Amino acid sequence: KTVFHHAYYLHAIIVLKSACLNKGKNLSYIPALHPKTEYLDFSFNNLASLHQNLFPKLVDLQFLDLTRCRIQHIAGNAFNNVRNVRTLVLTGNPIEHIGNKDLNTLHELQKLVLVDTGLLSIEDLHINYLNKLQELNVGANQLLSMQIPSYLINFTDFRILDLHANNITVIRADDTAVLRQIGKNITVILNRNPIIHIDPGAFQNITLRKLDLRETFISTEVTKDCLNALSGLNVGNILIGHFGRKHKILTLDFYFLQGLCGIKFQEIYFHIVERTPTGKNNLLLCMINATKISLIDGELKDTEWVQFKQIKELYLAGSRLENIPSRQLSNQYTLQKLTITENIHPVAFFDLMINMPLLQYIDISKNQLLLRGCCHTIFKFMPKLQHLNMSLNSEIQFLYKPFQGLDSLQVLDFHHTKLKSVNFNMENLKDLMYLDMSYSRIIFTHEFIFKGLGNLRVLKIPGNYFQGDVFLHMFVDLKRLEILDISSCGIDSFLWKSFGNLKELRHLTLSGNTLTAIDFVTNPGLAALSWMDLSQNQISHIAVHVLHNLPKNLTTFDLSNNPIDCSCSQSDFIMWIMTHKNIIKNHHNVLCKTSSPESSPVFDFDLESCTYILILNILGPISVVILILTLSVLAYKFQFYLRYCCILQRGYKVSQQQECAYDAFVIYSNKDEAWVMEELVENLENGIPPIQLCLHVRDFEVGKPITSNIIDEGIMGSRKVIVVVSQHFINSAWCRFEFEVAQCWLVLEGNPNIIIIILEDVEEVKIKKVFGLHKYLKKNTYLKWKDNPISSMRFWVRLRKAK
Amino acid sequence: MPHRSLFVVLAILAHKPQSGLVQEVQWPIHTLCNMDKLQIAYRSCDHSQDIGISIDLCPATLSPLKINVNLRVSLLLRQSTDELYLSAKLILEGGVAFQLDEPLCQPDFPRFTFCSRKKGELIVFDTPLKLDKLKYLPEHLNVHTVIVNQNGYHIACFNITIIKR
Repeated sequence: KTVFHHAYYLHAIIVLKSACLNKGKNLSYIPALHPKTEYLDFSFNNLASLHQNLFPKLVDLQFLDLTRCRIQHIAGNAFNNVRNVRTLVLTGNPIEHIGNKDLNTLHELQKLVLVDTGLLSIEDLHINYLNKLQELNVGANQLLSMQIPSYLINFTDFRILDLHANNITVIRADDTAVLRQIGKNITVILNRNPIIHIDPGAFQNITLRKLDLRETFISTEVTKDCLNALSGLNVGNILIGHFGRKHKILTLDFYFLQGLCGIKFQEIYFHIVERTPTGKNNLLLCMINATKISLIDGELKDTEWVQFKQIKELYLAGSRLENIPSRQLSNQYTLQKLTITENIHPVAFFDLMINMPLLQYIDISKNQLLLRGCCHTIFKFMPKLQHLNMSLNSEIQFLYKPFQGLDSLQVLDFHHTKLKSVNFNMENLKDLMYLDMSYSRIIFTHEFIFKGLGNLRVLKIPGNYFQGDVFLHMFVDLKRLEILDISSCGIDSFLWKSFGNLKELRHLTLSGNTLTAIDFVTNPGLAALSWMDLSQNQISHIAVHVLHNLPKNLTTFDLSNNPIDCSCSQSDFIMWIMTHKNIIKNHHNVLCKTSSPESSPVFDFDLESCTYILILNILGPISVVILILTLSVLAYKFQFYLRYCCILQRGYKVSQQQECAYDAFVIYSNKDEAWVMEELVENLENGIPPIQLCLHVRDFEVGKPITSNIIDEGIMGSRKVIVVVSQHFINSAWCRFEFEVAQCWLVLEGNPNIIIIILEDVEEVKIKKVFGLHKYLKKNTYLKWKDNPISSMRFWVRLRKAK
Repeated sequence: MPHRSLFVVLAILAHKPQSGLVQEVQWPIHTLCNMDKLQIAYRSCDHSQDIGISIDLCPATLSPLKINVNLRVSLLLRQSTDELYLSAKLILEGGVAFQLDEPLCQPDFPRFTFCSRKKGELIVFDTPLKLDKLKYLPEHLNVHTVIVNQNGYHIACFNITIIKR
């Protein structure tokens, strides 16, 4: 619980055996920790004083970092609970006093760092019982001498004494007595001390592993005296000169380095800012026995070269050379590694370097080199050459077989150097593992350029040009290739076969091209591919079959900065991207193509909206079809009604203009014609006043559709409608139709113009079959025909009245 | 005269961020030059501490003369500097105009005194600086600088604003 409570304040707290970070949160106490904690970084907090109960009991704690905790006091038993610490860092604490018991309790201590603590003398540390101490770093304090306490002789594993940036101005012969007695290879770091004097002989017969004296001697004269005073020293690695870019110091006396000849050293690092007015110097004179020389900014244009006795590595940076010193380097037969780099002015390469049987490594990058006829003519005397770096130069022209005879080459680096050659052949480089021709402005025109490079693991050819179908066979022989970079080449497509033989290819970088499709990656030959960069291409979508056939081991897939089509038609692709978020690199830059300058990430795309649209897209047409079908069925079924509604509508319009030609339209079945003609027509048309009847057999216009006649002549042309209901009437479809039209008309006109005559009794069930008739009979008065004179008399009278 | 004093105030300990876990700290804007023709100011964008930058002389005019000034940068190391890499972006009104990436410290070749320094050490780095062609400066220039170490940890982060009149 306590731990979780504190976790809020802590930068990170990992309660495991190995690590526990409590950095920079201004804590003034040490919170509860796992008792097995081995590593505690408590830097940048506020402890003020280390007292006995500050640390919980942490018997396994090995690393304790208390950098800048504003510690001023350390109580005698402060480290009791953490007594097995092996590394203690107290950098940047203004410790006022360290008592005799303070650090001596830490018997297991191997490394003690007390940088910038205001320390005045190593004696003040009271560390005489720390027999296991290996490294003491008391840099950036106020030590005035490098006097070392004599008990350090007993520290059998002691290796490193770091005294950088103190105030040591003078080194007396006495100061080094203990160092001499220790008598083994320790490292002494004295850089950035303002030394003005070293007693001559102070380092006589002292053996050191490494001595760092950079930025130590305050002037050229002091350097001269002090180097002389260092004579007799035997050191594995000496570092002298300066840091960084300083103003150059002009000196007339270039023999100030003469003292180096009295020092026995194997390796030297020298950053030199001194210059002679003529440029002549003897920089290398005393380095004749060195095995490794690193010279930074040393002017070597007019230097006196020497025949090194056992040189293995030579590093010359910023040496202001005009030529590669081929003649001078020839016959340096022990040389294995040569670097000449960072020359400000263009360097020429005229002469051959000869007799360099062991040379394996040449780096002549960043020299603005302009070279014609490369390379076997130049390097033919280096049979063991494995590594050749000529990158960041101006221009190199290859011969037809540029590396003939240089069969040991394993690494070739020409990046950002313009390579001028139409056609070259590297077939002999069976051991070549690394080839970098990035941004070399090569125009690849023939497809067998990498023929025979069966051991190549890394090929980088971005920023070049390719013509024609060079990819058909270009990579056929590269069976062991693991990393291939062809970015920024403006390539718009690859053939499916292009990468088919690259069985071991793991990384493929194709960014910055104009690819639109990536079908080629489905080639089963690319089974080992785990990392693919397709960023900054023109890929808008990838087909589903390609996605399903991607190499099985793909763990990183970069699709950033492609104009991805985020429409619902590509929802399969977008869905794939979303479900493969673990392998998609650069999530935030996988963007949808939009017309606006602000693109939105594909991962923000709302796929659900597509589901709705999809459903709509499927359901929409189906419902329309169903609706049309239903309507058709309905229309077919009720075509009759539709038709007469139509007609009715037309008739209604016409009727408003025309006068009625008949008094009554008689709806009757043909089978009742006898009664109609004999009784109805006789009594009404021939009576007084005569009533003009409209009878379909007599009055309908010939040639007109029946329905039109019914409407125009019958219903519209008559003021009233007489319906003769009988058994036949019920059975006749036309009669029913006419009656229904009449009813509709009634509704439209709004007055009771239908007169019903029941000619004979009809069963109620049958009456109900005729739409509206039963209802009409119930609601309205009707006439009933009876075949006897009295009844018929009354019938006619009522009928006439109804007119 | 503040710009002549080469006086660097490190406000690191005085301006401790509060104990919030994600609290953004806005460090004060420090003025390097405040002349009629030229104003230079900077602000730390390191969430954990401020940085001290000063120059000992400010150009009074923008005429073609070159002037040599001394630049001093002071900061407290919160991580070691076995390797250091600088990345600077020159930002004009339209966006990033130029990006500079430069290794400052590499394992074999520590170019500067602040290379190979350990956590907790205080760096005070002095270097001569040549101010040249000031009149070709754009009117408003921002330089965003980030320095990271071998572990990608931000050793320093600051924005410099240069306003020419």
